[in-house]
Amino acid sequence: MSELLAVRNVGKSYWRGVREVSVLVDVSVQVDPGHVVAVIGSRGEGKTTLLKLAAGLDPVDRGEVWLGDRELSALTERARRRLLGHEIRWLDRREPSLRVPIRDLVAAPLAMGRRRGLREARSLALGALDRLGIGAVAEQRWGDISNWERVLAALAGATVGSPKLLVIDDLLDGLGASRTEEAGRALRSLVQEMGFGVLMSVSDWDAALVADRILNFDGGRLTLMSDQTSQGTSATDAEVLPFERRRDGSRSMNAC
Amino acid sequence: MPPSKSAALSARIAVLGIVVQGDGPQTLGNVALRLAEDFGAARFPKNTVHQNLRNLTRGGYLRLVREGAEPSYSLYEAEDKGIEEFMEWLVASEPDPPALRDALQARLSFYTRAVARGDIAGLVEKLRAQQQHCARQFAVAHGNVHLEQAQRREQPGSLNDALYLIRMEDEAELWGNAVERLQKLRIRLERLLSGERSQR
Repeated sequence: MSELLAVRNVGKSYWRGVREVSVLVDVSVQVDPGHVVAVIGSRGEGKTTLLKLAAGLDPVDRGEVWLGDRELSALTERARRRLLGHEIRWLDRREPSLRVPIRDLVAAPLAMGRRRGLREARSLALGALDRLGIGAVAEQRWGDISNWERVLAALAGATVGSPKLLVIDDLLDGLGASRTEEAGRALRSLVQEMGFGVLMSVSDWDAALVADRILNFDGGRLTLMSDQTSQGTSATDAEVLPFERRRDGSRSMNAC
Repeated sequence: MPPSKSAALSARIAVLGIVVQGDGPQTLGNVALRLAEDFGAARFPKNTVHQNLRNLTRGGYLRLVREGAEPSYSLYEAEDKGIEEFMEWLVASEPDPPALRDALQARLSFYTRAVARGDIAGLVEKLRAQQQHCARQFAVAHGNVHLEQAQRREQPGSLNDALYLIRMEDEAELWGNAVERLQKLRIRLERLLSGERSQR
């Protein structure tokens, strides 16, 4: 399968006074269409920095970021911004700046960026909200809906324009077990239906389980924890392991 | 010896449970296979099935239905006493916090009384290796979760299938949390060695 996103050997540092602090060291990530890749790590380890580089929001200090056959750092600022609105969608839990009904919040990127008519954009937005089971909140505003509905509304807004890549920062964390599972199911179903790729950061292991490939931050470097895509089996630290399945048919409790 | 009333999983209770739950009498070979499949991560010693089948039979929890030409073909069945013992364990509550017998905690405790920099460096390497072992186990468990989730998307499963998925998710999280703990501890020790962390 062709690569959708290829982050190759990127590095990023920040200056704290006279001291240079390396956040990312020689980090590589690949996302293919229809696959979910999770990057797990504690806060402050560089997950968001990596995601911003991958989405073209921040420039890399070293290395390359490719979306298909386009290198993001070679694009103009304007071209990168346009990609970010259409082919790449950034998704986090920040409150949106627009104070409009959820339907219009979801419709806004379509109406503005793609110059679709407002009526058509609203109709697509309603469809996206319905698909995620929250059509009922269409007329409400961000402040009036629950945290869980905000997560789904954000997902609807990010996917309504059929992007190629979703970059999701900490959206699934801290939702609680059942909501994390539900959000994971919703995300997988959208990926299956629409075929986009996902790069997401998580802090919880249960949130990571929805992914096809899981990478772990360890001191600014990324370690492959598990790869269940067709290219990989299960792997850690570049050591590929044979897939092992430990299930048999004799586990029914009825036999007791 | 009186039966253990601990709520922790012992090889004894695992072997007993497999025979109790089996569809008819179980061979030693079958029990060993299921112990490896379902409780492989517990890493019970290889001879544990033979020993426990023998002890449970002596104690009246199991009975030898038929002696095989080889020990692995011998057939065992649960006695009422064994079924009762297993069911008691299955539903037993755990009112007390589990005993903390963590080897890493114990090592740190011994090192706090007398430690050299070389000891810490050695411990860092051990932690790194252990983290990789746990990461491999995580990858296996995540593989099982991934496969099961894909199957459930194709067709909804039975209650047993749903429980199996929950168990696999729980196992993956256990290994993931183990990786995280080892990594954090290793980084703390590395910072101590590099002088980044103050030595109070």
